[in-house]
Amino acid sequence: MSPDEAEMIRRCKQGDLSAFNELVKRYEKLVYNFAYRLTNNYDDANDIAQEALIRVFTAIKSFRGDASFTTWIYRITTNVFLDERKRARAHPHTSLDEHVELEESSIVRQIEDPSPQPLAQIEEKEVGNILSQAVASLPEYQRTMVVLYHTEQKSYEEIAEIMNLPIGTVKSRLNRARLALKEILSPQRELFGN
Amino acid sequence: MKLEQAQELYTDYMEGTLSPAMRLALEQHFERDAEAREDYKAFRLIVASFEKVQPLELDPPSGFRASILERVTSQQAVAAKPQSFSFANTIRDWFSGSQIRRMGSVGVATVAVAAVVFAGFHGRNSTTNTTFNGNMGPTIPTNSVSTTVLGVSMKPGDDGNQYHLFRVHLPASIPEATVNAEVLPDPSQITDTAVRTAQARPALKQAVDLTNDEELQIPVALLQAVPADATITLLVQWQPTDNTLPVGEQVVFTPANPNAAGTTVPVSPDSSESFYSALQFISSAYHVTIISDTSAAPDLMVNGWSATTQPADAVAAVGQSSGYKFRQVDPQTYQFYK
Repeated sequence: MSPDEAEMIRRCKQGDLSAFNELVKRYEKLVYNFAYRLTNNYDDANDIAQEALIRVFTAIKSFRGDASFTTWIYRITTNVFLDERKRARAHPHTSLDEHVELEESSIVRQIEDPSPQPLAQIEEKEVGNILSQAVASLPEYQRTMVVLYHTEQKSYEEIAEIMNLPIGTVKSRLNRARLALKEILSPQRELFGN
Repeated sequence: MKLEQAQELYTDYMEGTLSPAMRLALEQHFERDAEAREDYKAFRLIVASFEKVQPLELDPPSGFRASILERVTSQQAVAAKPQSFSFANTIRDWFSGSQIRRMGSVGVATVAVAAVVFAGFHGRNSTTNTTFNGNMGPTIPTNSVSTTVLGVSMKPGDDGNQYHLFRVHLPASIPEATVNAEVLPDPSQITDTAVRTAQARPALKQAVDLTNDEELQIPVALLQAVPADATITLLVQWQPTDNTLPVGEQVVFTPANPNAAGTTVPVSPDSSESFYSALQFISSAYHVTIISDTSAAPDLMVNGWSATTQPADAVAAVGQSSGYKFRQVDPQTYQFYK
């Protein structure tokens, strides 16, 4: 942590909103993009990211510097995301891509797109988009693992800190998330090469 | 080995972290079972395809930060509690509220710091004597004036208090500055820094960094009923980020009870009155907001005015005597400037 950031955090702990303004300016993009990866929806990302940054301010007095500040912000954003989804499950509604969670596995109700998908016309970017959509259909815990590891480039150790889990659990959950993705994408297997 | 057992090992196998015995067992399983081989291959391809996911560089939507800061400010206001006060002091202790910065052209709010809840006021009763004549100066474009305090409006707060919102903007010549503000129990504090240090109450918990495209709103609320002619005095100071630019100050006097006009008979300030006391008096007597630079505290030679004197005339008298320029910003606001 830079001295500049340490000073900013110290001022935030004293309730200094101008320091918090600086802190938000510094981290808003990271939090918003992470939230978008988790939700795959702009409005939801906005809600999650705002709530997360407000929670950062509320909880900053408890930040002791044991973890890096970035890791701490990831942890809060992850918790907000998981909390929001818990609340959403308490008021369920059916949608085209709704998935039903059974512990760590999931059953995804999919409506197949009957339109032709010529392989030659599918570019890498589209493969990436298909993958992102598949990630978004994962149960929250698995999705969080995948996003943290594959798109946020976090190590197992960092994910363990963020999610407050043993490293072994992180690895096994990530493995299960990848297996779930493989199942979801099996109808489009050929798009991912041979 | 069953498929599910093999699948549990995929990530470790792919990363080379399986024990030699487990690795051998899994590879033998793959050699025997073509379906298992294909299953692992599909797994590996999916993991590898994450390289094709484009990195995100999304900017948060417009108003994102402003919304966060406004919500945090509101939370602070709700969480804050009023503190005890001494009747010996005209100003109650303050508690935090909200203070809002707004981007000038796009209406995007960022926010900072705290606010104040005051029971402080200035007011005095008066009698009448002679009349005098005076006229307002010509209308002057805002951008030619070192405008800092733009005006004051009233707004109910979430905490049930009525807030005076002091709207602050940096002068056109100052791109960025640190802004601070204090509520003063006595206009003499404007020029007496020792008294000010001892008695003035901060209107901000911390100084605020403000840019020229932002508007800062400083809320001040009264905690108790005050006389109809009471005024609130706010001193705003700014220190440009660029040290080569001059520091500045402005003071604003505004009626504590803007809806209680007409209850005081205007009277001339004494000849010994200070410039700022005269301005405070105009605000008190006419229920108008007076904004002034604080670059000097000139002696006054005004003779007063009667109940029929209009506020514009009173402003003109003080302006002409002091050497300050003056203008009417809106029907309820006048400004003095150098």
